[in-house]
Amino acid sequence: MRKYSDAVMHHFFAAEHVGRLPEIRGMVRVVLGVDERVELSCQIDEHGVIQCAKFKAYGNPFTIAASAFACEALTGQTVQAIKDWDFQAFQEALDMPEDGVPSAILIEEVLKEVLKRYEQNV
Amino acid sequence: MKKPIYLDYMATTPVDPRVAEAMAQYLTLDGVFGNPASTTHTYGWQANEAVTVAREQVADAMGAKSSEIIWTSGATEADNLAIIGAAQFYKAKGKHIVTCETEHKAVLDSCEYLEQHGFEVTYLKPAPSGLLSLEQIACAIRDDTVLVSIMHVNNEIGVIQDIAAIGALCRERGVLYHTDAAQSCGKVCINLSALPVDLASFSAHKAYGPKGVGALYVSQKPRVRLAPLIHGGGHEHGLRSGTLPTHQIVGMGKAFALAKAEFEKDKAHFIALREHFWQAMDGIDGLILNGDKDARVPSNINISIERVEGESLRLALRDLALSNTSACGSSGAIPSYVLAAIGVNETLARSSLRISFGRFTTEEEIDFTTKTLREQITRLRELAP
Repeated sequence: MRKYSDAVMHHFFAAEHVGRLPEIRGMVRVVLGVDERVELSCQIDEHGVIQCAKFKAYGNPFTIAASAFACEALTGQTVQAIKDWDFQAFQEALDMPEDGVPSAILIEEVLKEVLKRYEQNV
Repeated sequence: MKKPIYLDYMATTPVDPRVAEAMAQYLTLDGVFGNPASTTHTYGWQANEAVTVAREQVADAMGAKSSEIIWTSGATEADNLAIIGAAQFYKAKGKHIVTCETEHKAVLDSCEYLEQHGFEVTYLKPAPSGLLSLEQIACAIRDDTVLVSIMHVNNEIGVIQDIAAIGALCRERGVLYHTDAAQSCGKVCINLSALPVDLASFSAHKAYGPKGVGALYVSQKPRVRLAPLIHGGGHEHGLRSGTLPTHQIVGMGKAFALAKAEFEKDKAHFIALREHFWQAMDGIDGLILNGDKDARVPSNINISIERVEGESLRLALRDLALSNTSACGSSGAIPSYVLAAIGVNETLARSSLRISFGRFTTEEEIDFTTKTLREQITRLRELAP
C-alpha cells in the first residue's frame, strides 16, 4: 500500500457528507466519470448559498478524499465560489502527488457542471 | 493484538523463536563462528558439523539424501541455478524449455535470460483454476526440450500442481523436471525420494527460517548435472561457490525440522483458520475465490472483491498487512500477472487480496480481519454512486 498525505487519509476515512440529497427545489445533482465515478448533490438556497453537499464516489482514495473535501469546502459558500476551485487547488489542499491529478480534474469537472446547471436553472 | 495484523505469510514468515535461538549460537566469539570450509582447526570443524546437521535436517524434511542438497542464498538463486545451470549443461541435447505463465519471477526471468541466449521457451497458460493439465505439458515437450519447470505451490493463489504426474511425464519423455517448491515446506508433504523430480528449489524464510538462505535439491539418481553460476572456491560440489553462512544454514535446518515435526499440527491450524474465515465472511456477496477450490494449500485465500476499487480497498484495510500480488510485484500499480494468466479481468485483479496466514496467526486475528473486511467492503460499496 502506498503512503497518502494526512489530508487524503482524513477525508478518505472520515468521508463526512457521504450520501445523496432528496430531489427538492434547489437541489443540483451531477454524476460524472467512467472508470472513476463521482456523484455530487448540492442544496442551493435562493441566495445562491450551498446549504448542504453530499457525495458518492467509486474510485481510488484521491477521488474519494477529494469528493469529501469538496463537500466540506463548499458547504456554506456561494455557488460562485466553485470558480475558485480548480484541480490545482484540490491537489494543493489535499497534498496530492501527480498521480492524484486525474481525480482532482474529475472533481473540478463535477463542480463546473454543478455551477453550469445551477445557472441554467436560475 | 499487534496491528496491522500480519497476513502475508506467503511473502515471508517471522523467524520461529526456536530457530532464532539456534542461529544465535553460530555468530559470536563464544559461539560457533568458524568458516565451515576451514579444515585445520576446531572452529571450522564445529561449523562444518553444524552445516552437516542442517543439511541432513533439510534433506530429511524433503525426503532427500543430504548429498542432494546444495545451499543457495534463497529460492531465487536456486531457481536460477536449476534452470540456467541445467540449460547450459545440457544445451548440446536441445535448447527448449517448458514452463508456465504463473511461475514466480525467479523462474520466468531465468527463462527470459535463456531466451536472450539462444533458447526457446514455451509458456503454458493454466486453466482458470490455476492448474495445468498433463496433456498441455505433453504437447509442449519437443525432441529438443531439455527442461520442464513447473512450480509446486503457487505463491499467489496457493494452488498445488501435481508434481508427481508432471515428473513422471518428464521421465517418460527423457526431460529434466524442476519444481520451484519455495512455498511447499510446512504446507504440503514432499518426499523427493519417491517423486520423479530432478531439481527442486527451497527457501528458508517461507517456513519460519531466516531470509538469505535456500537450497536446491539436485537428484543423484538419476544423476543431474548443472553448470555452476557462481565460481570461486568449489564449495557445494563446485555447484555454488562461496563461504557458507553457518548461522543461516543452521536456521534453515532447524526451521525445516520443525516444519516436519509440526506439519500435522500446523495443517490443522491452517484448516481451522480458513474455515473460521469463510464462516465469518458468510453473507458478503461478490467474493470470488481465485484458484482451484480443492487443490490448494489451506493457508492461502486469494479473493477478488466485486464492486470495490482496488486501491481504496487496500487503504481501507490498512490494519491488515496483506497483499494483492506477490511481494515481487506488490507496488499495486500493475495487477497480478498470475491472476491475468488465469483469466481474472483487470478490474477484479486490482481488487484482489492475497490473505496468507501461518503458524502464529490466531483466531482472534482472523476475527478482526473478517470484521474489518466486512465493514470496509460494505462502506466502500455504500460509497459508490
